[in-house]
Amino acid sequence: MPEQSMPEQSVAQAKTAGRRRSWRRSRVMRRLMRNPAALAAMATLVILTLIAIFANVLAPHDPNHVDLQNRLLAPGAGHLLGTDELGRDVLSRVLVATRVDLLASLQAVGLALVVGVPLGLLAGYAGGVGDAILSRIIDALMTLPPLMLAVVVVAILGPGLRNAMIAIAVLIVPSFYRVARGSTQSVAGELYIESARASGCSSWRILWRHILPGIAPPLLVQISFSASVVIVAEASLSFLGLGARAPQATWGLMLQEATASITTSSYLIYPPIVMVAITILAFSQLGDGLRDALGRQSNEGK
Amino acid sequence: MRWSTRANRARRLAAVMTAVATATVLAGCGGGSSSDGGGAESGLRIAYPLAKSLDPHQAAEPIQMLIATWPVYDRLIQINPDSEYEPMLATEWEFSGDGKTLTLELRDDVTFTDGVAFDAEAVKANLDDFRAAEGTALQANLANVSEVTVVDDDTVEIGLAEPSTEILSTLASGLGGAMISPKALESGDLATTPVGTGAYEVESFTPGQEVVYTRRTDEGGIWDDKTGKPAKVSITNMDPDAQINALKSGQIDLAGWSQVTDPFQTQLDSGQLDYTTIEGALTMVGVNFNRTMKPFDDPLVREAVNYAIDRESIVEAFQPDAQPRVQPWPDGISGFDEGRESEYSYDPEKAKSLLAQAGYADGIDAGEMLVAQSGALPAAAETIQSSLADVGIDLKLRNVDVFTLVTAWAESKANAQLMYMSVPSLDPYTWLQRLFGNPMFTPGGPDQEMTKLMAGLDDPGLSEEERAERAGEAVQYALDESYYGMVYQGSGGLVSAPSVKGLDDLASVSGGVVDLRNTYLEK
Repeated sequence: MPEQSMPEQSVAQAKTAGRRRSWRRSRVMRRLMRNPAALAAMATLVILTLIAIFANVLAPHDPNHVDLQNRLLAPGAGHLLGTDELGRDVLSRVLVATRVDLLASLQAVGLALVVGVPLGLLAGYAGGVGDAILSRIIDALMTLPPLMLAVVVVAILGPGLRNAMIAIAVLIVPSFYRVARGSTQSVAGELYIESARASGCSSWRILWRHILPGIAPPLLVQISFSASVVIVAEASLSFLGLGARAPQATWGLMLQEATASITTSSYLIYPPIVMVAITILAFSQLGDGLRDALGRQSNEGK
Repeated sequence: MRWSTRANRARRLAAVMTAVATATVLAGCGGGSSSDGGGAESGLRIAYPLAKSLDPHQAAEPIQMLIATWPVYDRLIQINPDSEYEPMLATEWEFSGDGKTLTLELRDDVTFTDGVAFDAEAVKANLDDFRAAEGTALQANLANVSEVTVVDDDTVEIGLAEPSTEILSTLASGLGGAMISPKALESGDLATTPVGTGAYEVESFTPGQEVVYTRRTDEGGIWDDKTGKPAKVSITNMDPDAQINALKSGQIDLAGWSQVTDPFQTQLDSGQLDYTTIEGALTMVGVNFNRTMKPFDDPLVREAVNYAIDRESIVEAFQPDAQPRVQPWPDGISGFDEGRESEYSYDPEKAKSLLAQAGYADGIDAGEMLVAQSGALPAAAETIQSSLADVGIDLKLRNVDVFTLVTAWAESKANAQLMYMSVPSLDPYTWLQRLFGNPMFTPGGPDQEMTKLMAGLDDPGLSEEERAERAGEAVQYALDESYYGMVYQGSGGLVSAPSVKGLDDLASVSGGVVDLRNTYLEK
């Protein structure tokens, strides 16, 4: 009886698809491991994460303690990276800033994921008028100059790191939306989705259990690239005085403070710049590696 | 009360704008972009903030007016480097016995650059025009003037609604004291083409960016021998970095500067540039407490803050030309007493015990302090924040632009603020209003005792000694009550090429603003 055998068949199909996905994932992982740049990027990110977690233990001094008697000391024994305009230990501040910056980018990317991906899933799966309206709104959002948009959002919400992250999340929501929508559209046409639908799965279940895992790979690439965008955006906003608030240390804020004494103590600008550069490089190399690993995979699959 | 009338609402606006512009001036930046330096054919080239209009009717306050229009406009009275009133277009002045009439004797050898003679009629035309200028800071400044009477060609009487010495401040300022040609007042375009009695005429004006003046050529037109030496004067708006680079490269001759001189210390040491401190700058910098909110409604907490601030270190690190200041009153205004400076010396232990006495032995959340994003203030604020944290006071900082700060403060939206405080005035009554009276700056307004202490201090009938003594009582009360956590009395400065002379004779110094009329170049 075809009515009964159909669900069984589709379940089997879905299982095969699931197995194929996990097999793919391990293939992706293996390919990633063979890419030295991506490997180095991952190692760097692991180190940065460890620094972020243990920042307070690693920091040799209180990062916020002002000591005007010892301001603008050159790098040396007592302070490995010197002291800033207020006599605070630069090494300690860079370490603590790592935690703040990574957490902040986690917040922004997380928020953009939570908003952008469900909207993209719905729009891509449902299509029709809702998709058209939503996509036009997102397109409109993308036409706005990014930094100006962030400045306006912060102006409305008030300065502060959390608000700056909300502003940046608003900026990167469209990219997540578009990736999720496009991938959903292509996945939604695949046979295993058809059969899941035919077997009576609810739309929610199809979206959550079948489509979302299918679109995860391009999202991972997007997350990696977005994280580097967030780091730069945080630095820019903090540099403009719209991000983190004193005495909290972030790389952008440290850079801003360093420019004040650039003519006398130019070494102060290097620690935050190096940290920003390394982090961005790591995230984008990882993104590149992921894209390559996944890209070849999908070509092979054809 | 004084603050309820319509005229005084306008004055409040003017007061706000004064604060905004003072900070702008002292920061030495105007926000505009630099042009290419203009006058290649020499002349005195100055980098200073420049407004978008040169019309006093559109200027928010006197400082803004004075900065860019001193080559054109003379004032009735001027203020000398020792902070005293001196003659300018008026040669003498005298209050009547009841203090309600001020009689001015005028110079008889002065003409406007458009050929109109300067006389008592011209003064009346100006003052009447200002008084009728609805909604302007000009009108606010002259709110107390009830009538202007021409006695003869060289004598004019100014009638006052209430006896007040504040009129002298107005007549010495760019808003109320600067005399405009009556012909230009009626039909000219004052925003771009000011016409006054000064040594210069406008050659070109790019709003907010650059104004170029050329010396007037009419026979005997320059009445003040000390002025008009450079054939040209240009004033260009630059941001601080552009100023420094323009000075180093010889693109400009002179710029205002009120931060640490580190960026051009090498040039100072080698003699390529000079730095002149403006003596007698009347700018106070300190923590202004919101006494209507917790925890600074408690005098013990405010006192603890005063003991926790290390003024000397802050000044040494960020503003070496400034004077550490404990009393909320500038040296140079009647009522100042050096003896009060020994109070509240830096003593964290004392601060802790005061907090314990106030019931906050385990520390206290003091809310948020607004900090003007200007010059050394953010760095000073972070130092204060750290010092307060050491004694157990947790104070958040919010760095904002000056305009946002003034507005938010007037709406009583923060627990404290760190800000420049100044009024371009020598009058102790004006200063009392600024520091302790005006609700725009003192949330909740003055308390009963302060109101009593301030009353009648502007009476022209008081002798200078009486006025100084009574102002001193008010200052002492404010100090005892810890109205402020004062930090320093700010200094302004000028960076210049060695060819710039005459900086030892800066006219009209008041609140850190200078009139460079006596400045010239010597190759």
